[in-house]
Amino acid sequence: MIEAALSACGVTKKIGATTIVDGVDLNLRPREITALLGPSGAGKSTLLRLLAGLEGLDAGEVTIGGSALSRPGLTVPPEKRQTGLVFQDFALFPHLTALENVRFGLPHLTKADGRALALSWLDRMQLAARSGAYPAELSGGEQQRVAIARALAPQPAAILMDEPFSGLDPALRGGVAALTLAVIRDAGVPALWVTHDPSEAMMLADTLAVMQSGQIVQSGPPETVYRSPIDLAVAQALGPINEIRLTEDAGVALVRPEDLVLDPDGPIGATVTSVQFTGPTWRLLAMADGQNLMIDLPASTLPPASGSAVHLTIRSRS
Amino acid sequence: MSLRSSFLVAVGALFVLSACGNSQPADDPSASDASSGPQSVTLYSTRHYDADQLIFDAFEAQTGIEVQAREAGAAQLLETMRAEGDASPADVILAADAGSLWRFKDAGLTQAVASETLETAIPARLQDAENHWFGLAKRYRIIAYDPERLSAEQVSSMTNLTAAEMEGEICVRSSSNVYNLSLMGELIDRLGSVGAQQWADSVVGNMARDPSGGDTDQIRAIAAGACSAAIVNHYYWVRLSQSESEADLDVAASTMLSFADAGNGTHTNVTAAGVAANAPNPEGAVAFIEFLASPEGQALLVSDTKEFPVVAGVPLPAGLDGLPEIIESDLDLSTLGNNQVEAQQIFDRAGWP
Amino acid sequence: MLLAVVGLSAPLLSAGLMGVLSGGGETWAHISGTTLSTYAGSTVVMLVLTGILVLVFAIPAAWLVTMHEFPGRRFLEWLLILPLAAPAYVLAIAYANLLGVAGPVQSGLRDMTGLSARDYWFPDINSLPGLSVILAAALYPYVYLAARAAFTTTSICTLDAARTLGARPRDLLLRVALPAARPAIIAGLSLALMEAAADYGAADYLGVQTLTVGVFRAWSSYGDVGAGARLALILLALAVFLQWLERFDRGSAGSEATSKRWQSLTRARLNGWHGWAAAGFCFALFSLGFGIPVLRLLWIAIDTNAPVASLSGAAVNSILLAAAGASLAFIAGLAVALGARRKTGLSRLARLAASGGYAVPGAVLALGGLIVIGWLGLGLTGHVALLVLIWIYVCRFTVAGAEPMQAALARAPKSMDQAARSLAASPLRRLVRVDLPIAMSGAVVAALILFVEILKELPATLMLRPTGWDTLAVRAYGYASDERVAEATVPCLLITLAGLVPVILLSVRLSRARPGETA
Repeated sequence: MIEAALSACGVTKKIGATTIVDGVDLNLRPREITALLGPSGAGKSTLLRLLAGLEGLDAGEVTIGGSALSRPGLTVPPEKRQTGLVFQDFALFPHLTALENVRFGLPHLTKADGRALALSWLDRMQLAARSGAYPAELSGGEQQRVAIARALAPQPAAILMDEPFSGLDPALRGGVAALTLAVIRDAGVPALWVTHDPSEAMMLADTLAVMQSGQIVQSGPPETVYRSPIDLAVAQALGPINEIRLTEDAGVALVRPEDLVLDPDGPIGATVTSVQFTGPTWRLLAMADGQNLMIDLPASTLPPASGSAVHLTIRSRS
Repeated sequence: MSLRSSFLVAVGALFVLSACGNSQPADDPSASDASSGPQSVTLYSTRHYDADQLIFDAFEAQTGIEVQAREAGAAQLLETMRAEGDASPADVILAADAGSLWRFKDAGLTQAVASETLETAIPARLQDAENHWFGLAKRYRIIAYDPERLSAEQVSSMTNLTAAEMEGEICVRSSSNVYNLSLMGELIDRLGSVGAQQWADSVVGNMARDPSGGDTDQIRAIAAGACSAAIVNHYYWVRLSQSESEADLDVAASTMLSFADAGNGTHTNVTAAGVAANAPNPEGAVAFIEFLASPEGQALLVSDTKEFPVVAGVPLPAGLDGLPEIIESDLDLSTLGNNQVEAQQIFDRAGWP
Repeated sequence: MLLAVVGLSAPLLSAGLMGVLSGGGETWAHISGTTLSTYAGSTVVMLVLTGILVLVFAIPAAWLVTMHEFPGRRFLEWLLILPLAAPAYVLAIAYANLLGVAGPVQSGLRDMTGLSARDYWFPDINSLPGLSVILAAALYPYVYLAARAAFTTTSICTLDAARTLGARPRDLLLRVALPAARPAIIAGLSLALMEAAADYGAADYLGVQTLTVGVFRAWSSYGDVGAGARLALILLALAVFLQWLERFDRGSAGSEATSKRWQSLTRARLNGWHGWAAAGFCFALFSLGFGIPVLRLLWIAIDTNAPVASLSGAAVNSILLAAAGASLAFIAGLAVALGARRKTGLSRLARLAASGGYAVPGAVLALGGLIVIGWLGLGLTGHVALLVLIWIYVCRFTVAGAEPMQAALARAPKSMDQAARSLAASPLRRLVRVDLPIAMSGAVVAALILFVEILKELPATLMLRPTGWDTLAVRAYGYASDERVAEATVPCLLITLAGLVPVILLSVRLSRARPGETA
């Protein structure tokens, strides 16, 4: 297996006069799962297709371990670049069993070896018992696990996943995602995971990259991006956020709802307008100096009543 | 599984195709080579009757020559032979109208035949002057009528159909039909171009309805009361009178035939045969036509069609014996073909669809 | 693929080329001076009338069976497809007999009223309107199927939404369902009209001089291929128009079935006479297109004790030709379907050539075949004629075979091909291991449709068949035009019976297409 990074450098793609992907730099390292987040239309899927070689690029370069895969005028086709692809609609071959689907990418092996290898991948995906089933007989979660086993079996140089879990039932989703991402990390390949679910991405990815209007505006470990977003848009991409103007001159502070705490001596006075129960927390909506605030309190505390006046302080983090 | 079986079906069908392609002796010119193996004769025919197979079988039993038949309309057969050119497998052309044979001859698709047997068996009037074709069975284009509405006198002649009293009484098929063209060919000869044109104009004026359907439909229309006279070939009525259907028998019972005069006797036409210009087996072709002119061939030829045999002494098929006496026109049948183009022009000018 | 493009388009192009090149000989002068306006006029009137009738028949029927519950609805739903089994010329033969002045209908009328045939007016079936009614009765299922599919799949949610907004049932059809189904209905209509324009048998039998009849006659009566080709030019223009119509706002048709979940239909129950009226309408439509003509032919066959034995040769020929033509058209159709997935210029051309062949009447293609043979200096004998005939079958019907396989491929998402590419599969491997097996799921339907279409084919077979290769269709038509309807009944019924097999298979598939619906 090649343990090499898949890198994009200044990658640009235009359709007509519109720039869909605009000078993106991205480095996908082995054993690391990079989640690509951003609103729809930001260019996430196009970037993935450029990395996969499904489309040619207009400027920049895609390299793996230093050798070029794509640059203007050159596109190593998908079948030659050893990148595994996983799609939202699973894209399993309907006429082949789970085992045959996985074996599809292993034509160079003998039948017995191919079977054995395919079975071992299904086993890692906890699907050994379903190896003889056709896609139509598998649940959505099972189908996606087969698709990932299929993508990993030929030992690709990288794996690219386009919203792989968004077609699944919410109840199944977390489990399937955790299992498959663990297996992928284990396989040691660089992985790109396009998703629009920030909490899932923060929980399971090693690196977040936030894309807006064709550009990657911030990337880094999940906590860094969450705690220190470079702007309001990035902050909003990862979860609810308050904009608080403390003084006329100091500008605006971005504060997560859980970082506002009740404190009788706190500097911010507010009136509670609504109290909602979300499960793990109480979400208070409050009004302070004409600003709307969201405050998350642990569910174990007793929340203030709607209409009561409270004082708040911003929790500091080191 | 279904993939595999679909493939098998497709491959199997291809094998069948190649196998049947090989088993077509008629397609292979060498098969009709007289010197090797069993002989065959290819017949291009406008007829298709169950008795035809009996004719072929009887001919093969007598001569050892097998008959391969292609059946289609005369115009189609002619175009097919043109398209086939020199390589045409046709030996014999058999068509149900002298006018049709004239077209084949005119297109250079027939050849002259020297056969003593045919010359003696068939009246000279029913042969081509240059012996390109020979009439083998006679049909008459006559008037069927409703005896309750018309007297025999009123329909005793084709020219009576122009009378003012016949207005709204006549049913007849479209003019593009070769039977009507041949009838008009005779009328041109008898009445002259001007007279024939007047005849056509008047008949169009007397029509009960626009021409539609075939001759049988006209006879049925009389029985239904839609008109009282129709120009038809005699055998269409005879077939109705011999039908197994009760309704057809009723139609025949309520109508009568008048072997009407067409200027000088009843308009006569023939089913005729000729030898193809490029016949691969001309001897076999002549032998086949001679067989059709033999008493055995004659009887088989007319048994289903209800035509009249051309050879004297051959018994009439069932249904023809009760018909009134017929005075045939003495016109040379070659005239019908020669007048064909003018006939169509007259019909077109008369507005006879 | 290049071979497929050339092979599929050669007859069509040569007919077109010959039409342009032929200097307009004597025959053309005659035709253009006398019958051309009749040919063109009756074709246009026939298409307009047929089109209107097809819509009037098919749309209410589709609306009734998809949105309502009434007595016999489930049975009628598939009875309404059966007219696809019988070719139009079979209907023409049956109705000309049934409705003629001496037929049982008019006779019965006279017996009942005591009137004579001259005392009343009765519509003449041997006429342009008669032909249009018969074609509409034979071809309405194209629109019925399209409209039914569109009503069931696209608009259930929209309709439910419209209902909650207070739309009345009539508004639902006129303002919501019909506009939503329009692309599908237009596509179905253009298919029906292509078939109507291509019809030779029914028009010729009823004595209506359409352009297709004219093309045939230019060849058969005047022997003038050039004049035929000139007439064919008009038909080619018509075919281009109908093709364009079929693709007309396909873009919006592409929005169908975005949701993979099937909504179970709640049908409005029609009670009392409303229900019986709905059932009566659907049953009348089925009777018109299938029940009445088939029963009439059956009755004649029994009444006259029609002979069967002499047909075995024709039946064998029919089966051989249909099997051979269907196998080759199947392979060509598979190539076109697989090619369409690749979207190269050449595969697009192949698809265009194939659909062009379907849009053009068989008589025109046969004419083109004759022209090609003429240019090659070959005689149309024996094996050559057989091969040309099968070649014309392939040109005409390839797209009918490609369609079900293309539909199967279309159900497979695009990402499947991309997934295969990412697994290092070469183009050949993707073709053989992925696309081919998926396309094969439409194979049975494709093969059956091809087989039956060729079995029913009349004009090209009439023009090109070699000696000894009469088919059931040729025999049926020959007997009928020789005024021997009784003998024509058995081959007509045999063709219809064969046609029933794929139609029933198709209707079973369609009823399975909505697993959410309680069957």
